[in-house]
Amino acid sequence: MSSPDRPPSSPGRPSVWQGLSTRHSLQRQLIARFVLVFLLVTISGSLLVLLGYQTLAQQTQKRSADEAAQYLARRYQTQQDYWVRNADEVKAQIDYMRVFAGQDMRGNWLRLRAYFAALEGKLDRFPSGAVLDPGGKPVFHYGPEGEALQRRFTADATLVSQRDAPHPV
Amino acid sequence: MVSVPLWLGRQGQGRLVLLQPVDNGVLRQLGTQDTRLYLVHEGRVLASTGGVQDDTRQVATDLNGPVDDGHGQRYEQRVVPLFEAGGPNLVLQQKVVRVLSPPLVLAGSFALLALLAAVLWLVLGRWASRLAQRVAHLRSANARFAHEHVLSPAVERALAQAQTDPDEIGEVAVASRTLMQSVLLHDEEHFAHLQTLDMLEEGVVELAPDGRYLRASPGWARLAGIELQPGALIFDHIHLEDVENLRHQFLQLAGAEKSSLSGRVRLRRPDVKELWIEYRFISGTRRGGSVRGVLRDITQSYQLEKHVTHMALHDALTGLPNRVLLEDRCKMALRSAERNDLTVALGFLDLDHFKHVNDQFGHKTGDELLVALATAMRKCLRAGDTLARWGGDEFVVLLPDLGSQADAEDAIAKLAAVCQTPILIGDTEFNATFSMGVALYPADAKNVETLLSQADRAMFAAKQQGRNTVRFFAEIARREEDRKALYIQNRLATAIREGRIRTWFQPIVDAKTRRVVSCEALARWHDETYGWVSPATFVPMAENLGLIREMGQQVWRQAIESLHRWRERGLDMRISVNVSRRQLFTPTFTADLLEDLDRLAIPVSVVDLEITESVAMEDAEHTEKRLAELTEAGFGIAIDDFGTGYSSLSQLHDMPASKIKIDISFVRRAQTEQGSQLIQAVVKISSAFGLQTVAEGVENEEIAGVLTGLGVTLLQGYHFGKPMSVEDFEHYLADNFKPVPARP
Repeated sequence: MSSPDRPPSSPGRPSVWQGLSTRHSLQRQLIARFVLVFLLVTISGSLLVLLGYQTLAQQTQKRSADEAAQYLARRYQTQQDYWVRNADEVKAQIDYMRVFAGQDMRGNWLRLRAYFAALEGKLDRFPSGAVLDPGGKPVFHYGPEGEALQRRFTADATLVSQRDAPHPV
Repeated sequence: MVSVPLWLGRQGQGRLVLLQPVDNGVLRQLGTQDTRLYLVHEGRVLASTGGVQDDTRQVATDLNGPVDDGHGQRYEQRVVPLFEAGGPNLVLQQKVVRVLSPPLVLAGSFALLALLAAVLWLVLGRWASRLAQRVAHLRSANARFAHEHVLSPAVERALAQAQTDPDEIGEVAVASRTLMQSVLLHDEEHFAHLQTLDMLEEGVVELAPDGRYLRASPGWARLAGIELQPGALIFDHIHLEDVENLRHQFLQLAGAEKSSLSGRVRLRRPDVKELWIEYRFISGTRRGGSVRGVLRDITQSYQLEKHVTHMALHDALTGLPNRVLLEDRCKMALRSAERNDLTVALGFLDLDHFKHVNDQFGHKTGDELLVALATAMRKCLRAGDTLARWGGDEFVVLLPDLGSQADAEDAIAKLAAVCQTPILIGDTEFNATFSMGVALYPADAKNVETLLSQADRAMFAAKQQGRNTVRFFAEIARREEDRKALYIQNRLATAIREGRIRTWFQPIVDAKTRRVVSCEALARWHDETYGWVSPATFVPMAENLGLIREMGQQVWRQAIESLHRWRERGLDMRISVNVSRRQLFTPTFTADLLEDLDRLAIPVSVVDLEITESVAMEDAEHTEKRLAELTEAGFGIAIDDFGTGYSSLSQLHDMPASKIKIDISFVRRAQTEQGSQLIQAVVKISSAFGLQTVAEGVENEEIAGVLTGLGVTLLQGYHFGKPMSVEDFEHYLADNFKPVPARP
């Protein structure tokens, strides 16, 4: 058969394959997608890792600070206990030396002052102090803060006397 | 501050109050290496692990969280509530230590993921890349094949590269190769088909729905006598009168009203007068629609078909419409008359004594006379009238769309005048007359069959009344004797259909011994109203009504059944049965008779078939053949009513007859000298031809004696026995039949 306007086997006949000239090869697509995924995953992954690391570090730091604060509180309590034991030891030494055995109170106070003077400079021996009479009234003081202590206890004793009730320091 | 009881001697029990300051040294003891401690009261640093250098530092005591020291170093701060409310606060600052810097973390994670990607590429990427390459090879192979349509080495190579691994791509490559081979094979077959199409004489075309050529075989170009041009339309090559019809059919095909087209059209070719083609179109599968078709030249067969159709509907001799076409036109005329309230006249026309023309001047002259008469009669009719040849010398004229009977009478008068005009055939002048019966629609009949029948009866009446006359059916229906004839015709048809025609028998005796040797079977009919109707009345009617064959069969069967019964009783005799012309020329006549006889085990040799002389001698050539066939089968043939016809000695000699029955008109004159001589002459002729003679109508012993003396072989007549019913004839036989004595 012949065709007047459309020969059946014309070499110029448009081909399906020619119509796909702007195509991209599978290999190119594969590489492009691989690179894209690589960049996306790597960058976002790195940022996520960094964020995670920082969060973890902060939490660790907070926990560490909390633990340090707790440790400090315990240590301070231990220090306080130590100070009480030292105070008992000082009282025991005073008692042992029978500082107040004499009838002369003036002499007693002098001996006591001498004793504290002897302690001055020694580690963990209290640099200042005061003695209160049974009525809570300061009768002796020593050290740099002794006078401040006396003033404070004097004020306290006044308040106590005003209420007619002696209060030990 | 620590308070313990202290005995003060005579002052009693006092208290020793000792003050332990929380200074830098105490804080250093409390602190650890990575922490800084501040004792802060009212925003002022009282002591710190850093010593005096921190005295001026501002430390917030209401913040638990990260703080900056102003030098880029960050600390985590906690305020530890060690002292009573309103007292100083101990603030702990722990140095924030970063093991890894953010850039390092970022770089590290990046490097780790890059490593993972490299591993992934090595494991999956290269494999995927290889797959992509194989797909590319597969694509390349297919693209190349689609372009070149050849399974070239390059294609094979690309397929092989795609097929390196036994996976899905490999299977697709194998399938592609198979597909390509299949496509190539299909291309070859397609090419072969196209080559075959090119060799065809028929035209094969593919067209757009608007008739524009898309493709066409050389056969079509040859057929249409054209050279295909782009944009040419098939309608440009079709005959102008056929274009519209074809275009309309194309529209129907395009509109899916039809799924295929077929038909005939003429081509428009300047070099050919008339070129008929037969086409067949179907909807194509091309996108946008198409029509595919095959066209072939049918000019010869079309003309032949036209000729055959004409022959099927027209009489070969006169060219007039035949019965088929006449009946069709009758139906159309009746429908038209019914719609328009008009009258249709149908005339049955029979030429008077036309047989004599054939006998005297030969069939050729008779045919010429028929043609001349037909032509003359046709000329005097209107354009819408139909003159048909019914057969032989019978014509039918159809006059449609008449206003009244008077119009029909005028037209028929013209016909009669034409017939009465002398016609010159050769040197002889003929004056033809005709008998005609006319029936009218709707007065006489409501349908074609009845109209023909009534016209035929009217013609029969016209013939009975002396011929050369025209009778209207309405007229004869009004006359008593005609009414009787009509009644008998109607009753006869019913009687024949119901098998009420009886067979009677008349004995035939041997002239010398006077023994019954045979009998003649005769048709008899008893009507309830008119009693016994004469055979001279109903036999011609049966012939005229076309019922003679059926009636003859009834008589024949009754006759041979009776004979069978007699033979079983030992009455061994012959029988004669009359045969009409119509029966004689039935193609299966001989076979039917033989079958009937065989069924009853009656030998053929005891049966004589009687044929009138006029039947035997009319169309003698054909009659001879049929009679020869019957004689060969063993039947005896008797020529009935001999002497009343026009048979020549030559015809008699050639006729394969075994008996001659001398007509009763001669027998009645047997006692006169002329009659005696005539019978003697017949007997001598018969004897010369080896034929037996039978004399009919023997009514007394004197005539029987004369006939015997003249040499007549067999005698039949009232003297020996009238025609009688089968019961009476059996009684007659019981009294008169004497078996032939056995020869010593």
